Amino acid sequence: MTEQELIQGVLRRDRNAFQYLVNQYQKQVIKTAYYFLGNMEDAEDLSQEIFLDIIHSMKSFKKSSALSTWIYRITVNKSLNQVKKNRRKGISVRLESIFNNPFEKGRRQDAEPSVISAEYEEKEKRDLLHTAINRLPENQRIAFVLNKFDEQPYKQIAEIMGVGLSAVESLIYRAKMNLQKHLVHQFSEYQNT
Amino acid sequence: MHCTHFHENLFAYHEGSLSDEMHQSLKDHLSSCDACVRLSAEFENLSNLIDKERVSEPSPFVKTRILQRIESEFEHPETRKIPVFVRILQPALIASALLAGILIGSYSAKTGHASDDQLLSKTDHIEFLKTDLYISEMMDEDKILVLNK
Repeated sequence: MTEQELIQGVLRRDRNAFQYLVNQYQKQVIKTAYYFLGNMEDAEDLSQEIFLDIIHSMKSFKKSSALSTWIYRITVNKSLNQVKKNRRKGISVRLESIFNNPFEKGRRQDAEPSVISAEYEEKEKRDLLHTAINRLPENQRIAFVLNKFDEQPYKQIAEIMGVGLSAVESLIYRAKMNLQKHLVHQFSEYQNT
Repeated sequence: MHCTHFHENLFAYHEGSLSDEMHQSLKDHLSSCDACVRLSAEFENLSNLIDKERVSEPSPFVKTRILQRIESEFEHPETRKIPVFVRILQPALIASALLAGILIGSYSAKTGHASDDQLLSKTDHIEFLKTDLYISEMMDEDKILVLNK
């Protein structure tokens, strides 16, 4: 199915086109959402909303960019909105799920103490990393995540963000400087405790 | 070299994007600074975490869940896009119709009951009608008897 056929199929609400769309882009959508959210379950849930958005707004797709670039834009916007919502909800929900999830409880009882401590330490570091990333200004965050996690080349990031190549370079450089500063500060606090 | 110089070049040092000369000078600093060695190790861990996240794969069932969600959206579009005013207006109208029914019912129950006097007079009236009917029937029988004679 060509990109044009896919677009026409989605506009006709054709079931085969929906299947093809999900087959082609599910990995891209879920992984990008995951890099922003830092949680696979949340990313998978959000991907349903993202695909509905893609289908509903397909008629507004201007063919000035590739379909995948347009899907990236929708994914990034939805993910950033979700991060904002999660931030408003606070970390209480995540903590609650850890304490209430019977699978987690069972696993904790069966697991060796060293495994628990390694898991806990990794989770702590992952939280530290995502907290630092989420503190970056939005443009720096998008450019950094797409480059470092999603391994997108600068040219593709420039197209997704609708900015020039030099702007992307500058955003990624500033993101690294800010992250560096934040992480050094966090580590020095961590060492002192 | 000071630690701050190393802090300022953490990313570049780990990415290997520094000049050979600068890289060597930071390496020399690390050989004599335990704090920077620890920081460097922690930073390395974070880089590994990014690599780990990069290779994380979604659940194999997620595609089915997405397709089910899309199907339900287009099979029952009314479940998603019911206008707000309909969602509020519809139950409000039903509730007010029920309330009106109850009020009308209770009002007619109050005003629709006849008083005892009225009931008595109604019973009397029925009795009178019965008596009239009986008399007229008797008279008809008398007429028939007379005719037969």
